[in-house]
Amino acid sequence: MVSLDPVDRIEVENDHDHLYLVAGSFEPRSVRVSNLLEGGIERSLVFSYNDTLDTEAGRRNTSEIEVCLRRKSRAVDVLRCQVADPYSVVRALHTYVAQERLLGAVRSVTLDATCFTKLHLLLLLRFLSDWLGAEVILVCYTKPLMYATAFGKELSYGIQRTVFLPYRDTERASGRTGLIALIGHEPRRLERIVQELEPDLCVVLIGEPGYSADMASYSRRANMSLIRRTEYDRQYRLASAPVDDVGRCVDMLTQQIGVLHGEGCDDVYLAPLGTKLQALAVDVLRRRDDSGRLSLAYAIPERYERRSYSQGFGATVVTRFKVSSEGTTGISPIPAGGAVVTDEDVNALRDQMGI
Amino acid sequence: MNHNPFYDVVKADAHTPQDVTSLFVREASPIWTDLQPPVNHIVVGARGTGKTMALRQLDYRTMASREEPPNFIGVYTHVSRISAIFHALFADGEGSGDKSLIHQFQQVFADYLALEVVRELCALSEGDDSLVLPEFDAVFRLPGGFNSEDMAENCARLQIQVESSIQSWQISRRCAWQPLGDLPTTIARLAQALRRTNSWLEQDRACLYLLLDESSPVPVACQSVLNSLLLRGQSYCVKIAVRPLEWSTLNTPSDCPKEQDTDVFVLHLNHSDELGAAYISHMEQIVERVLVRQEVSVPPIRKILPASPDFPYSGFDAICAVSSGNPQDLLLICSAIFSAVGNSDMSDTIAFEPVAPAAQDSVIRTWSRDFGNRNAYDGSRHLCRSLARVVRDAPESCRSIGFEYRSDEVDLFTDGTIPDDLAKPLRPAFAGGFVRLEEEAPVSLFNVPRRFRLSRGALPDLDVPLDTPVVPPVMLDSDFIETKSSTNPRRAKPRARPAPVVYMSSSFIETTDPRCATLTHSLRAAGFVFPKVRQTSKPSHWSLVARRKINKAHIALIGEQGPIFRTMFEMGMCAGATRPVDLIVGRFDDGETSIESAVGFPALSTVSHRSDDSDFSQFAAEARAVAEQLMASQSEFANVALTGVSLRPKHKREKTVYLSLPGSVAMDTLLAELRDRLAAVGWSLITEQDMKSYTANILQVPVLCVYTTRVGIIDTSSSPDGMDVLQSYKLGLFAGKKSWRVLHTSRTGTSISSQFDSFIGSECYRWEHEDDLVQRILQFVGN
Repeated sequence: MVSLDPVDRIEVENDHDHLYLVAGSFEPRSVRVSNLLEGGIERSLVFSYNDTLDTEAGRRNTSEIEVCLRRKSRAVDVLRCQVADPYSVVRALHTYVAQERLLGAVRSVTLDATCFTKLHLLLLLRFLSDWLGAEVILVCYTKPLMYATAFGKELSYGIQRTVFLPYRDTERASGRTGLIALIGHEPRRLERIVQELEPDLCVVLIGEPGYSADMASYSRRANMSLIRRTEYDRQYRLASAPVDDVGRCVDMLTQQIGVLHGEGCDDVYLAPLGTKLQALAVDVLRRRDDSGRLSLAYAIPERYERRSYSQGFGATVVTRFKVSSEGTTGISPIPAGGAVVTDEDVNALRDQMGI
Repeated sequence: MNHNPFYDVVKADAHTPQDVTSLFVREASPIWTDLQPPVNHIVVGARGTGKTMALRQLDYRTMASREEPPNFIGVYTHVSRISAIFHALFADGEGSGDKSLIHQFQQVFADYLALEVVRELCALSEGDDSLVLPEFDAVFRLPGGFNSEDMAENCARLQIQVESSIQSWQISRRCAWQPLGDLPTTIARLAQALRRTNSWLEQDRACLYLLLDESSPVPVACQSVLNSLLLRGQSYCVKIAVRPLEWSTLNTPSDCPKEQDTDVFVLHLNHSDELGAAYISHMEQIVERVLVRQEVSVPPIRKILPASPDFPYSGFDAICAVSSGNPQDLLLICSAIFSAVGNSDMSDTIAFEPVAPAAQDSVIRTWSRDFGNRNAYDGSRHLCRSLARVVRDAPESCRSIGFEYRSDEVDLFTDGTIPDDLAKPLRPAFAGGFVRLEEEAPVSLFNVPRRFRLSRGALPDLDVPLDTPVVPPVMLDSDFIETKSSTNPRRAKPRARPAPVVYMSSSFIETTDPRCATLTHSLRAAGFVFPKVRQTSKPSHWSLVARRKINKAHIALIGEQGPIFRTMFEMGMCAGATRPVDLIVGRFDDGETSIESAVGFPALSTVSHRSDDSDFSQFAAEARAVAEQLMASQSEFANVALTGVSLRPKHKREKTVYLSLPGSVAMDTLLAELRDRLAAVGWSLITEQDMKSYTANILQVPVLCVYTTRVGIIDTSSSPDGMDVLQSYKLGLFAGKKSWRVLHTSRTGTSISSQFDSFIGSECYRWEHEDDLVQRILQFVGN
């Protein structure tokens, strides 16, 4: 399920119920997966973030993706979404699915995770499996050659707001709160989450080994104040997980969740500010039965570095998620019906809750 | 065995009830006496000042662990965690502008909170025979009844249902939730029901204490729900802990202000005003409590942490000063020191040897740097770095430097968001930016004040307090990147970083000067480019050309070749430009200059020109060296802190005019009359005095004023020649940006330089009587 071999072409099954999702971006690597796709695709959706459209590179890349997909796909649609709205991507897809009457009609999805934000990616994956009912999700990701931090620039600037979202709700947890902070190249976003959440126990998960020694070194140095705190504050622990090995990362996350549960922290928050592949590990974790209650903590930046967020592209990797029918996470299905609460809704709820 | 006695005592949330009792020093808490009576309280304090410890003293579990039985039930809960999932929801609701939607969300939050309180009560009653839970049918009076069996689980399930409903709404804009009832009513019923089932509760006073911790980093709409609890308080009372500046007005969900007679008392937990003997004594007591918990005898803290004159950050008193009145920070520093010297090892032998002052000093410096990196945000971080650079370059001019806490809203105090009684004590610590510690006359025009009010964790006398990790640039193989990046041959090559654009003012060197061409060539050869502006046949005012060039430039080279007020005008244009422009002050010949030495602006080395160098070869070589030096140290340019770019407010005030009058004009009567007359036409007035407390130096104040208003009146009557340098700097601010308007006034008899009489966006007016001036201002505003 988590094989991550580099590929130079991506074959898509020529199914009539196949959907391809990709986000346009100002990053050069955003076009890579679309170019590598082979085979007929039924529908393609290009998500266009508002900040992407503000840049010439973003418009050019989105246009290139669209042109490329028109050659390979029967239908291509561009959906607008807001980078600062956590549910924007999911809502846009939900609207599209409702309009096109696709509920239950999509069996397999190919998702280019490269340029979705990590929060959108995680919510999108959950939506695809839990609500849309996709059975097979092929996740593709193109690594960058290097990030702007290598040039002394920041990846993002400022923090617009922090969000805390229920992610896996199997049971209501007790009072103690744990946080697993996956550190990356944006220490201030993580610091803000830690400050706002004030967890009872915080596991600082450093990404080692990293994509490269330089990147790992930068990440460690950038987050040094948090790492140093693990030396003298009992509420902070240090652990490490590889940045591009989803399987081992899942194992490490599972182990740390076990530690948190052992300390009485049943209410676990995950701050996925590491790599995109670590975010995929968070999604795998959500599907496991022993993860308990999970929430996402995320700091949305004021703006991303748009001119030089990343340079070039490295390997493109592919992983396949097969969703079993019993593997859902416990999120309640979205009630059908109108915007107004009906008596039937209320009665059903009361029956369910024993009120 | 962990031998760092401070390792596990930092966070009050994590303490057991026994620890909460044993570690809390009642005498050291400035609010404990006031907090106990059954009245409503808002406890205001920054992170780590002891809010949680104080509230948890009233928690039922803590009370039950004491010998004296409680006569009320204290239910402690952490509101920010409960409300975390509502952040995105309320952001959506506020974005839609639909008030009824916000009210529905508030109802859902209120239900969620009520369920949390009930769930917490159920947890309190587990294993405690003295606390008997009531029948919840009487609390939640729902048409179909309420299932009171296995109440905790039932509440948990309902809470999950709320969370699912929230997500459903965010995805599909549809959800289903049946309101449980009005929150204050529900809590009042709960208190009465508890009184009926627990006879030990007193009958004539509030028997249920709701202890709502961390209530302020929550959406404003949630705060309104909490405010509604304060409206009623006969059978229960509420104690809300909030952080400074993060609590909204006391409006309730129905938008009615909280009534004045509902007896809500505000308690301030602010030690920073008393960093004297009392604070140190209290901290000593707290530390002694921590040390007493050790299984072996421990020497007094002053013996373990001795001071030394050779190391300024050693000794317990120094640690207290560094903690800036924050007990949690003090404990953290102690823990860091003990951890660093090896007392957190696992050996069984314990030895509390005195910690060497050098080791203390080192740990505190590291800790403070970490603190700065944790707490400084982008704008303030930039400001701090720049100021730190000023300190480093001119240590004699600044005794100390700190960093900003967080304040995105510089106008928070003046727009009525914070009630006066809250604002007054909070203003010094959180006003945003650096605040003068005391009034003092600046030594020179541009001098940064010598003493700042230090925010938490800042260290006096530290050379450069902030240190952000910097990775050395990586050498890139451009061919390799191009190969990797281009699958499409038509794709353009990655754009190289643009060359810095330099604006060379005529105050730096006149274009007619024979050395100008040589200098221009040197700068071009070093990699700089010059701004290109469209040439037109129509003659343009020099200020318009200068503005166009400055708005395209990254760096401005300014000198003192011309009149000083012209130089200052251009400085103002740079500070008022859309994108801040770095200023470099330069000169060609040796001699005293006033600007850069006074303010710490980056300055070019002197480039000399000898008379025997007729072909400028020597001059060209020196100029080239300076240009290369300039190019090599681009990151050192920034001095935006001096002009307050970091403090620019996000929102401008409508119908507000900024008035700057020199001291020679009778300010008080004129201002009073002008305020009244402007108010009559719906306008308000700000002066530099209103903004003084938000900024660090005299150049920042006008920037803040200008960016707050967009319309200004600048009078230049004070100087015999009609212009003084500071007023011309302010005029330059307005000239730096399009669409800003300024009225340039001066008293009749003073001559305004023709260079300034009609720059873009300005109008000139000479006045004889103050009444004339008032009339003209009203006319200007009316236009």
